[in-house]
Amino acid sequence: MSDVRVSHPVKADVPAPSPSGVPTAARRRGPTPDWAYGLAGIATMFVVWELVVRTGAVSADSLPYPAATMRRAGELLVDATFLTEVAQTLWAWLLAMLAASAVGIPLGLTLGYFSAFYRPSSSVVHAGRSIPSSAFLPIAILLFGLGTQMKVSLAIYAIFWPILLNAMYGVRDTEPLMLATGRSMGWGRTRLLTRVVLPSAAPSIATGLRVASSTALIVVLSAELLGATSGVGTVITTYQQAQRPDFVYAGILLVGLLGMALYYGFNLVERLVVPWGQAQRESGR
Amino acid sequence: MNPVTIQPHQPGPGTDTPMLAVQELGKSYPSRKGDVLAVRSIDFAVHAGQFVSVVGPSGCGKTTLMMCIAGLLPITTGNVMFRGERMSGPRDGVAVVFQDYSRSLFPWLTVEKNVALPLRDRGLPRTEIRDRVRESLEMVGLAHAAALHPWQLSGGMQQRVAIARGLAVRPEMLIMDEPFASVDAQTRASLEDLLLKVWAETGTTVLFVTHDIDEAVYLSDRVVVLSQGPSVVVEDLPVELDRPRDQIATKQTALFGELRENVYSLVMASQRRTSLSGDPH
Ligand SMILES: Nc1ncnc2c1ncn2[C@@H]1O[C@H](COP(=O)(O)OP(=O)(O)OP(=O)(O)O)[C@@H](O)[C@H]1O
Ligand SMILES: [Mg+2]
Repeated sequence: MSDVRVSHPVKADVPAPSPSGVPTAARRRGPTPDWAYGLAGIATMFVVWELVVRTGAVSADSLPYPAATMRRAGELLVDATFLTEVAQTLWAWLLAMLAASAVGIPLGLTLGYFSAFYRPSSSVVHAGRSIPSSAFLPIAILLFGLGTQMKVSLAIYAIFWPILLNAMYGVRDTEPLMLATGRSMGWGRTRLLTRVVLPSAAPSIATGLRVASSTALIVVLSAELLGATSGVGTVITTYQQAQRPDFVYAGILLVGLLGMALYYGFNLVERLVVPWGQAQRESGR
Repeated sequence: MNPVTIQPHQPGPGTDTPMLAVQELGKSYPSRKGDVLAVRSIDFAVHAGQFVSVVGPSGCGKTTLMMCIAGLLPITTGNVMFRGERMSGPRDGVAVVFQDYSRSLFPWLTVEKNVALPLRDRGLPRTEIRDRVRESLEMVGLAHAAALHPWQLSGGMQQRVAIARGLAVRPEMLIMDEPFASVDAQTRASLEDLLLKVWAETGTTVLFVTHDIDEAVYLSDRVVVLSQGPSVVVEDLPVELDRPRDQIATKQTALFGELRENVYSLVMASQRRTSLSGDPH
């Protein structure tokens, strides 16, 4: 059938001669893949960095050359103590994600599903999420000391709101016509919930988790830079006090990579688990 | 009663008990400024195997009426009787194809699974479900698209999936709300003919809602004309055009022209009446 919508250009059976002399096959190749753009962006960043140091715009004492930083990063990557601290950071991140999702998702689904709860709760949510988690740093230190618990509690506070809100909105935005469709097939409340409401809300929940994942990493690292006793952040502060900017930047670079890996990981999982969210966004519905 | 060419596969209990009887149906929506009347009072009946269209101007309450008849909206006044029994909610044997098909298909399911949905929970063996899904997809010419997701299809194809889903349960009655309103003219014509073919093959009773007068006359055994909202029935018109119908030949007949003009002037007159007398509510 000719009316199937395909995302890639359909190849004609007979290649048309190319007037400009450019091989047709090359022009028919699909759009540039995302990773190519990503690499170009990173390459540009390194070139600018190199230029900034070489021209003396920033002195090499405060910003080392990219090549030196890369070497240090390589050393850190095989350094067992550094890797242990990375594991500490990731552990705090994971605990925060698990705890916040375990509470935020079911609560968000419930608040979104029952209209009686929705309005009163959304005002609380909007108030809660406008307070930055750093406001609670002193209290968290008093309550939990400088260990993992403190980092995790701050991160949970920061990511609880996006997770909760996205679950609430996901449920609220369930298409009424899809519910009517289910009801016309004789489905009761439970079936409507599992067969319509949850799958409808899933892409939104996934978005909430993706946002939360970056935020959680940022909060955990900030807590580490501001005084926690374990994690990548503390390594960076230690090198800073030892006046080793090359290691400081190497650490920052690796943290950046970690954040990027988490982001792309989440994107990938999202595309595999809830492909319909993506597809609907793309078709502009 | 005009001759029905297709014998119903499940004849009603008595020959004079209609499959569907809508009695003084009225519906108002609650709103902050008091209730808004969408449907004033509708009366009509559909006999088994018939193809009946409901036409009316946009906003006159067709979707509301259809949702009430399908048991998806509580009715305010009157009754909907199905085979002589009062209907109080959605029921087996009645399938609905909605106006906005793109939002009534589930994007997380493949075409095949969307069509299989109404067959679940019925204790049917897996093979039976598979066969029926295949059969209904074949009827609408979409067997090849079974494994695709709705978003990978064109609008016309999505509408055919929605129709296939309606057919999969082998419904006694198929209620369709402006199913072809948002597809282009050619697709529309071919979907109309497809629907007539499927109707002839299955013997399903069809209640077809549309604002398109030509479409209503072309498809139906009877056309129920509604006034502007809050709607009442202006006329219940038999359409005694020969079947099978043909997009060109049927539409060129004198009778088709006459019926079309008749329905058109009824709709216009009802609009004039309501606009001259203001809002009588
Ligand atoms: N959920 C609702 N709440 C309040 N009023 C509604 C609701 N749905 C419809 N209405 C009102 O009821 C009237 C009839 O609407 P309806 O959608 O049934 O018309 P329609 O004939 O199907 O129109 P169209 O041809 O444009 O599809 C309109 O005036 C509309 O504003
Ligand atoms: Mg409508």
